[in-house]
Amino acid sequence: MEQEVIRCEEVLYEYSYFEKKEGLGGSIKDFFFREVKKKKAVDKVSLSIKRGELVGLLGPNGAGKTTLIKILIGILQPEEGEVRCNGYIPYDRKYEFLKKIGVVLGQKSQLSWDLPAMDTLYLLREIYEIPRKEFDERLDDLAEKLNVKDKLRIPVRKLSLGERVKCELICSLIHNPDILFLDEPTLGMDIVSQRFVYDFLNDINQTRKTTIIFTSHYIQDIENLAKRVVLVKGGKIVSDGTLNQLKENYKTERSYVIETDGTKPELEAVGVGMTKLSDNKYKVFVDAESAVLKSISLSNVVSIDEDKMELDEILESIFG
Amino acid sequence: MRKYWYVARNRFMVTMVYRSDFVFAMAVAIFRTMISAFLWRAIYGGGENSYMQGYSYRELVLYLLLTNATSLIFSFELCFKIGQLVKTGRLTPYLYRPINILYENLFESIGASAISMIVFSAVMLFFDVHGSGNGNLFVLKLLYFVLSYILWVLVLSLIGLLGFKMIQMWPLKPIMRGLYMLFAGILFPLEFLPWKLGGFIKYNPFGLVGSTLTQVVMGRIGRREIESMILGMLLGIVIFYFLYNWLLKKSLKLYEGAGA
Repeated sequence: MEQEVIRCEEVLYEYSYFEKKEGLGGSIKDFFFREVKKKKAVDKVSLSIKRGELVGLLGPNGAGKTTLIKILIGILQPEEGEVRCNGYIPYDRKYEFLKKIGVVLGQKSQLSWDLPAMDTLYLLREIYEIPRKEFDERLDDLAEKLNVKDKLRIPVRKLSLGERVKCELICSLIHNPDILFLDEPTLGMDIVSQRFVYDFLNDINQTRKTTIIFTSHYIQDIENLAKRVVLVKGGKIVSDGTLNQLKENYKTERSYVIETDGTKPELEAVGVGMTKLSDNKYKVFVDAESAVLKSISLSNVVSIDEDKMELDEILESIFG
Repeated sequence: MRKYWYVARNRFMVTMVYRSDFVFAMAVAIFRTMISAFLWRAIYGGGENSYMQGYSYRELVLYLLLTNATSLIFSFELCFKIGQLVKTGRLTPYLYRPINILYENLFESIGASAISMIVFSAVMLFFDVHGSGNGNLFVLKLLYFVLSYILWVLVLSLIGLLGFKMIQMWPLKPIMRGLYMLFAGILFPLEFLPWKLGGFIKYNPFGLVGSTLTQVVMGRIGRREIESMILGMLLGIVIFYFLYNWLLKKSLKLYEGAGA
């Protein structure tokens, strides 16, 4: 049986915030009294990840993906539920645990902005107590694979975004962690750099058996990387399975392109999503084929074509 | 321990990148000393041989030079850095790496003021050899200097924890600067204060790294008092260390790692 490296049970995390009252009066009231509100960022999430899996956490902005990652790496302490990562309680932040994880959080660089990446890597060699020979070999291998050998001695502020992310990846993997956490790893990258990162992560996952958990809202990331897709919405997991399973599950949810005489099709009975494509074309998502046929009024319909859903459309229908 | 050496080394290299910052900080300290020296010249009324609270004019200028030099070493950067890290969420990388935040901050500060510290230690040695005070106390004075630095970092780290509660830390800046100017004795020795408690004020954290440190260097404080202060600082370090760790644990519960 494959070893479980991450286990979350009924994990709950709430953010505190306050709503600013409108106008000057509101601002004065707020100055003396602020009503603190809570928002569930992670809502009773249960998740199990086995060693060597490559898992994509996919969801719209504010879905709770990054919060879940922060809980798993020990930045946030869940208010309820139990989390185990590599056998440790992440929030205890024991050195033995931290030495076995690698993290890349898009905007929270661990690279020193004014120094070459090499200087940060020397520091990481000491932090993770990596023997020099091992460090040199691993660095050589990672820099070669990511094609940044000649960039390691240039101050980080002079590097492009893609080069910086590649250096971040080296920093996160230089100590050969068991689990790699990536938050939006390809955000803002060009297609060539994205391709490099996909190939690299797939290689690391296969050759080193590193468990990789990444968040994204890019379809390309999911299609190129994730062997398993966990869909997160409103702090809850709404789907968990392989990419094929996801497509299979939504096979019953078909979509149709309806051409009309210019007026809107009457679909009240269906109660599912409809988007306007052009003046006389509409796309309709339905749960069951029969439902739409029964409820649609054909008086203004010119034609109906089945439109097989692509991954992005499936996600649009879930997150929309 | 080696990892902290690399922390200091990297920070020192960053300081080397921003050489103008160092030059400007030194220029500000020199200007401030000059202004104070001219002011005190007027107060002394040109009387080269007159004394105030045991200071001749020349000794006072020397005092001002040394206290202003200490302000290059004991900076407030750390205090506001923690607040900024919390506000921007950039504290996160400090938390997922197996490294102690307090020690990392201590060695980063050492790296940032390494040049000033080395120069100041050399000045300390010079005064010990050629000064008029009790000679041969260099090791003791150096120990005082090191402990006062550690205590300073702890005090700033403690104040910096307010950054977990306050969104903006900058309103604290003028308050801190004012307290420092007054209680570190940057403009005049603390003995000049009219209060009866003046004798105790020199033991406040600002005073220990400003006025009192300067007087230790100038040989105006004897062995016994330095030893007492070292013991006092050791006690302070232990207390503040535990207090910091306790408060940090509590404060981290407030940290949400702002932004993505």
